Amino acid sequence: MAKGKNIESRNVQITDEVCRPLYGRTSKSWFLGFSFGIVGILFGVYGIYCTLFKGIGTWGLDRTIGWGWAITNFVWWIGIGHAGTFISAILLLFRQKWRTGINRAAETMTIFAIICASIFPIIHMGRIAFAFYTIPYPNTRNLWVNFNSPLLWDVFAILTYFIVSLIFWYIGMIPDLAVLREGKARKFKRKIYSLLSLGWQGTIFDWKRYDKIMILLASIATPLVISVHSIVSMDFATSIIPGWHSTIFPPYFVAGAIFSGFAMVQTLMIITRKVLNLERHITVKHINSMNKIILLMGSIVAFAYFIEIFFAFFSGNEFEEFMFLNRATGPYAIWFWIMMFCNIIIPQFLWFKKIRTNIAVTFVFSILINFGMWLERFTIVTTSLHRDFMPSNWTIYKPTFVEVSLFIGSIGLFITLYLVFLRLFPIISFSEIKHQNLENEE
Amino acid sequence: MKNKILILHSGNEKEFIEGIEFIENLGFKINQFYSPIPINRFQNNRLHKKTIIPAVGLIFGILGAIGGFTLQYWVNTVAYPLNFGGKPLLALPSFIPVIFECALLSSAVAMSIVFFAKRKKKNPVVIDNLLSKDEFVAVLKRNSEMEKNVDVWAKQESFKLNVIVYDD
Repeated sequence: MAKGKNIESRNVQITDEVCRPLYGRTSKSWFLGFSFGIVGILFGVYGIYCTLFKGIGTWGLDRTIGWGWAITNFVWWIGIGHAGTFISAILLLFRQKWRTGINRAAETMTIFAIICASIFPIIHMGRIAFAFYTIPYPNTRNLWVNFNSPLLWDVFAILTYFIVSLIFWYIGMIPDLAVLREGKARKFKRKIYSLLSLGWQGTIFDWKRYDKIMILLASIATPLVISVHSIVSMDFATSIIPGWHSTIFPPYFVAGAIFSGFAMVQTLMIITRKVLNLERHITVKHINSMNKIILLMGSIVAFAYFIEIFFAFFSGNEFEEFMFLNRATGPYAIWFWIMMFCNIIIPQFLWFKKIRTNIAVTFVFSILINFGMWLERFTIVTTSLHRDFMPSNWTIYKPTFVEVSLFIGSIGLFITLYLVFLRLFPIISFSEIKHQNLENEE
Repeated sequence: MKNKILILHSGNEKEFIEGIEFIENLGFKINQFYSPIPINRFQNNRLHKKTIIPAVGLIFGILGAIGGFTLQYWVNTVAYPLNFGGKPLLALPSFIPVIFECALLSSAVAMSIVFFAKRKKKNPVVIDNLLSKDEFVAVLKRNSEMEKNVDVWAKQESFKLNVIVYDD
């Protein structure tokens, strides 16, 4: 009997703790973060204004380097978006219990990361209206999109990924929204929760349908995780540029995406648990488990780096050999070596449990890995392009203030969206945590 | 219109199931179960209704794949046949990514429409309140004999059995 009462009181406590940020006063740290986010967005608005009204001539691109920071940022954000679905879908299918504390934050991160990523290809078109021509619909001359192009596959893959992730995220929130509609929030807020909970009744049949659709969506989302970044990698791999033209790219990009995505989830979870006092729900055990996956993915990425270098020299292709020597010793060598340090050396420290369970060190590592993974995309894009087959084409790429503003803007948008979400919706799926507790009890 | 319902509720899953078994052993029927969290044992044993969600997912997945292929086939060979470096117009391997994405998208969207479309009338407020307090609830089929015994059963420690009057 006493045991039963313990579960009851613990369940009530879980709801109270997770929902406290939704009812209470906004904290100073939230306002601070929100202000940073808004300032970032203002930079982004300036960047978009310049790009749209003056053209992409305001970027540091030229005839040799047609893709610069924009594609780097795009691939980075898409990669970050991968871990959300990975945590939610793949770990759900494998019945990994530790996912419950972090899955909502990871899914939310996915949605916002894809929104940030989508900004870059759209504005890169110069005129936003041109984005319409990526939709499979004939224009006035009956000209269709090219279905043989990986760039079009990207449109299909990312749109599908976004929609499926959105459905998965939303359906996962419905039981919690139904609890919130009866909660302590203001009347207007409760009405919104009621509307969003879509008449969830909580009957056994509702739960059965819920379980079924979540498992099925997870089964759909899992191959999507693999397909999206494989297709993104084909944007590069199907070209003939040395450094891009490589069959190892799809698995290498998928591993890199999960690696950077987990690092971003780690950064967000460490901040969230501290700011919202959720240490009881986002525990050191979660951080430790995520660090193990970061270590695994980091090792796969390191292996891919070495294989890439090996192929370049083993192939006997002088352009490939030159490209790798240029990466390691050319004008961008400093960024290449920082990338190597962040993506290969740093994760290897995670073999030690003491480091894996140290929150402060993990936080610094997650930021370094995020930076390293951004540099990886920069290295792939820029160092492969800036010295191509003809030395007369060689050039040095430097981003302009407009490009930097766009990147800062995307980070600002991400921070703002995440913080607004924290104030309006529960960042932890409390119905799942309660279920988990019940199972643990048995 | 004033209505009466008989509900059994408990904050503890084990006690709730014991209560349900107690009521069922006496030969009374239960109309509906409500739970704040998924309870697998209930789903397996009681109210064994089938859901069409998996079938819809499969059918629309196949339709999506056929649609994706048909669109690409028609565009590339009929509507606007373009020669891309001598590649065949019906370049099947390059159709696979779009076919794959169309299948998954169509399946996911169709399943979610079925999931969202299955809206029923609102719960009585009392049930929503109990659920938000993490109580497990069962609504019993009304029965005059049962109503007479409510007071006796209410003395059970493990679960609560209440007659609740609400506006329909």
